Formats: sequence, C-alpha cells, structure tokens
Amino acid sequence: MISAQGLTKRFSTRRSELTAVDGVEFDIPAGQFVGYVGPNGAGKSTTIKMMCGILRPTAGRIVVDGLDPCDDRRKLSRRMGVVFGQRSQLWWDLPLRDSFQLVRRLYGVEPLDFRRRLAHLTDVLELGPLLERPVRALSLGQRMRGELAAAVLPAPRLLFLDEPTIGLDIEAKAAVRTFLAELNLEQGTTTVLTTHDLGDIVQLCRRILIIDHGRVIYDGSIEGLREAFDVGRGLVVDLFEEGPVEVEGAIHLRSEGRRHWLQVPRSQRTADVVGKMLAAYEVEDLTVEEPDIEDVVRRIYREGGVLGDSSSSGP
Amino acid sequence: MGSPYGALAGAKVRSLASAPGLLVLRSAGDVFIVTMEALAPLLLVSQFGSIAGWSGPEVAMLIGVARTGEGLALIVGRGIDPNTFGDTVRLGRFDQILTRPVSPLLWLLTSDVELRFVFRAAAGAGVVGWSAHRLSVLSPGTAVVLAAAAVASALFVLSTLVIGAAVTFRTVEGSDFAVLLSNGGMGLAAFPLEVYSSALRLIFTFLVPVGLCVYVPVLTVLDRDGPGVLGPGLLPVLPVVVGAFAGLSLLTWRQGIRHYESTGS
Repeated sequence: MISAQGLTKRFSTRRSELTAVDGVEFDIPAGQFVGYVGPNGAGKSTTIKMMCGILRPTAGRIVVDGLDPCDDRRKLSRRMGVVFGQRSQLWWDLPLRDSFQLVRRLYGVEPLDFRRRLAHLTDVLELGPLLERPVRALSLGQRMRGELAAAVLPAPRLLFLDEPTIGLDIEAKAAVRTFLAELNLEQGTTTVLTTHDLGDIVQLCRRILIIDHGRVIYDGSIEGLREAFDVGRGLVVDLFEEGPVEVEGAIHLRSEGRRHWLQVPRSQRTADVVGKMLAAYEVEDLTVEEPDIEDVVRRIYREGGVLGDSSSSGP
Repeated sequence: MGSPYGALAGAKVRSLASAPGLLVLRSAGDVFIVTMEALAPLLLVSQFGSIAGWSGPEVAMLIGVARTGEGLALIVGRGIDPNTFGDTVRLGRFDQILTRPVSPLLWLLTSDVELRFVFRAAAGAGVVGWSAHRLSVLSPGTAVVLAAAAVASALFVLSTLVIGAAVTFRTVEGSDFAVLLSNGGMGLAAFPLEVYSSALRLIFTFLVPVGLCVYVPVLTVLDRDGPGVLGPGLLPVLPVVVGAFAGLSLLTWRQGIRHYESTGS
C-alpha cells in the first residue's frame, strides 16, 4: 500500500541545508496499523507530508496505493483521510452536520452512502447531540470525534493520523482508540499514526517505525522492541525485614525500606530468578513487570540504533 | 452532485450570515470610502478647473471602474490576499488544503468569499453610472466597454494577488509586493495617466496592465485620445494582455506549489 525507497527530504536556505528525512525505506502492506514515532524534529511529519503529497521528496521515491503522492495528489486525496490533532479540518462557524455535508460534496459521496455512513458514525462516535452545534462550541474531545468522522466519511482506504489524541482526557482518548481499532479491524483501513503518546501505539499498532535524525532506527513489533533493546523485566519485591538484596541473574536497581526494585535481563528466565529469591528471602509480596514501552523508546532516542524484527510484514 | 466550490462559497456565506451586524457595518464602511474617494476629484476640479485636462466626472469614472474591479476581485480574493495567505501558510492550513481532492487555488478563492466587497463593487458601479450620466455617454455600447473594463480590472487584481501568494510559498510571510501591485496599481489607475511620466505610463499599460484595464476603456467611452500610443485603438489588445498577465500568474502559482516546503508541525 505504501512503499518508500531511499526517501529523502532536504530543506535549503541560503546559508544552510537541513536533511529532515535521510534515505528512509519501508513497505506498509494494505490493512496494517503502523505507529510512526520519534522525538521532535526527527522527520516524522516531513515523511507523512511526503506520503500525503504535501511535500515533494528531494530524492528517493514514495508510492502510495500505486500513486505518486505529488503528481497524483487529487486522485490520492480521494482515497485517504487525514487528521491533524492540532489543526481542525472542520468549518469553525458552522454546525458539525454542515461540515459533514461539505465533506460529502468535496469527496463526491453519494447521498445514500452518506446517510448510511453518517448514521453509523453518529452511533459509534456518539455524535447525535453534537450535530447541530457549531464546531467552535465543541470541546476538544467532541471536536476530535467530529474530525475522525469527517476523515472517514468518504470511506478512505488510507488514514493518516497526526497526534489524534493530543490534549484529550482519558475517556475521550479511550473512545478515539476504540474507534480507530474497530475501523482498522472491520474496514481494513491502512492507518499510519504519528504520536508522542506511546499508549496509542501500544493499544493500536502491530508495527512501530521509529525515526530519529531522519533515519528509521527501528522497524518491527512492540514486543520485538522490548526484546531488541533488552530492557528486561522488572521485579518489585517487598520483604518482611529490611536489608540488602542480592539474587543471581537479577540486577539490583534501588531500594526503599523493605521494598526493592530489580531487573531480570531477557537472557535469564524470570521464573528461575523468582525461585531463587523466594528460597533466599522471606518475601511478603512480589510483582513481575513488563518494561514500560516509554522507557524503552526513551532509551532508543537517547542511544539510537538500527534494529528491526521480521514480524512486521503482515497486517 | 454540484460543484464543491459552490458548496465552499455557500459555507462561508452562511458563516458570515451568523454575524449580520458586522457585515452591515463593514459594507457601509466600504460604500462610504468609495463615495468619498469619488467626491475628492470633484472637489479638486472645483478648485483647479481640471486634473491634467480631465473634468471631475471623467476622473470619477476612472475611480469608479477601478473600485468596481477591485471590489469584484476582493469578493473572492481574500483567501489569497498577502496577510490572509501568509497566515494560511504559516499556520499549516495550506497543508490541509493539499490533502483535499480539489484545486488549491479554487479552494482559496471560494472558501473565503467576502460579501462586503459586493458593496464596494456596487458603490464603484454607482459612481461609474453617475459619471456616465453626467457626461451623457451612457449607451449599451459604452456599458459593455465599462463592464469589460471592470472585469479586466478584477482579473488584474486577482492575478497580482495570485503572484503575491506564489511568492509567499517561498517567503512564508505575506508578500508586500502583491500589495504594491494591486493596491498601488489600482490607486494609480484612479487618475488620468497624463499625470505620470511616459515611462511609467508604458510600464502600467503593457507590463503591469492596470492602465490598459481602466484608462484605455474610459478613453474609449469618452472618445478621446491619451498621450503617445495610448488611445481607444488599444482596446482590442486588452483581453490579450490581461489574459497573458493572468496566465503568467497561474504559471507562477504552479511553480510556487512545486517548491512549497510547508512549515513545521
């Protein structure tokens, strides 16, 4: 569905040249939900803009649904939906329903299809009470539900989402994530998501592409990411008595009173380490924690790396 | 299904209708400005007899044609005026337009229609009608020439705005160059070209064809000759030169979009 080969974008000024995207390569099959993440200034938005036909690559090639995004921009636009979390695509002074009508006219959606899709979206995104209200009077969470509905009303084959949950409260975030997951599952919409909220990535994406300094430094699954960077599992142990803790196969991280935090590298079997711990100490409570994906990604941003696994080819 | 551009213009009109008081106030301001501007040469002529041999109603006709054209252009041109378009680019709104299956230029021209300029155009047409009546030159033939002059002037203003917008792709900030050409050009055309040097007259007739849009048609209607080559005989080249200027602006726009580099996220 999306193929990038040697994709490069340089921005030139009179005095300097900045390479925002530097030879990026990836293939995203139809129906896949991909997270595209990286620190600020890594080249995420520039890549997305090249995928949407907003920016022309300086070098390399990108093909989206068989089309050149710049040369076939209008044709591609009919097949894709875009949500910019920080910029509204709706008509500010008009009721939400009017924005949807305009989308219908812009994308040439047949009236019957429009009515059916709007009824469905109104139901799943709970838009009923909002349809007659001007967009400017909606809360951020309500507006974002409207943005999503507007983006998918033309039934796009592709969806580009740029920070769709930014600024949303927990409930609104959950609603957006549920909607996107169901859309991908039921319609098979190929979705590329850029976000700083790794909760979005963990809950929605089967594949994650990490970009830094314009280069893809990881392309694979979330699980592969944890393994590739060997952060290991965490052990939180509460003992009956205070004192130092030392267990073979685990790294002691820190202690607070009778509570101790340890790390078990992926090379060790967690069950073995737990067994040794139980044999050596009087344990009141013990918890095994998967490494926080944010810690993993933070470490990748800090240290960089070019890694990937093979589990990313299917949707 | 109907044109999406008509729907965009309709949406903006509905937005404007949600604040009718503001629309009425601004429209009244436009009518007032055009009327005052037309009265100015009448006052000047009453003091000095004429302006470069032109009577008050004759100069008012030039002003009326220029302001009618400008008003017509600005009804649809607000989306590409330097300040608005500078914001559109800087705030990333142009990125969003590029994700729509539409012509970006037509989107900009239709999605930000400004009804108050209808009243500027109407006030300009009123001034033209009044001066034609005073000068006893009103006929179907002169009405056609004057209407063509207003349309050509509108096309000239829109073309300069398009060129300015294309420059904004490079500079991001709004282009003063477009303001200079459109506002300056129309201001210049509101006076008989006799008051300018011969070099300026040629530049503003053939290179930046504002003189051709306003001055030559009015010469034709008044059946008088201008200085040098300027005169009613140039009227047939009006569509060619204005068409070429509009074509040049579209080429500049296309080049601008090709080199559009967006702004940060």
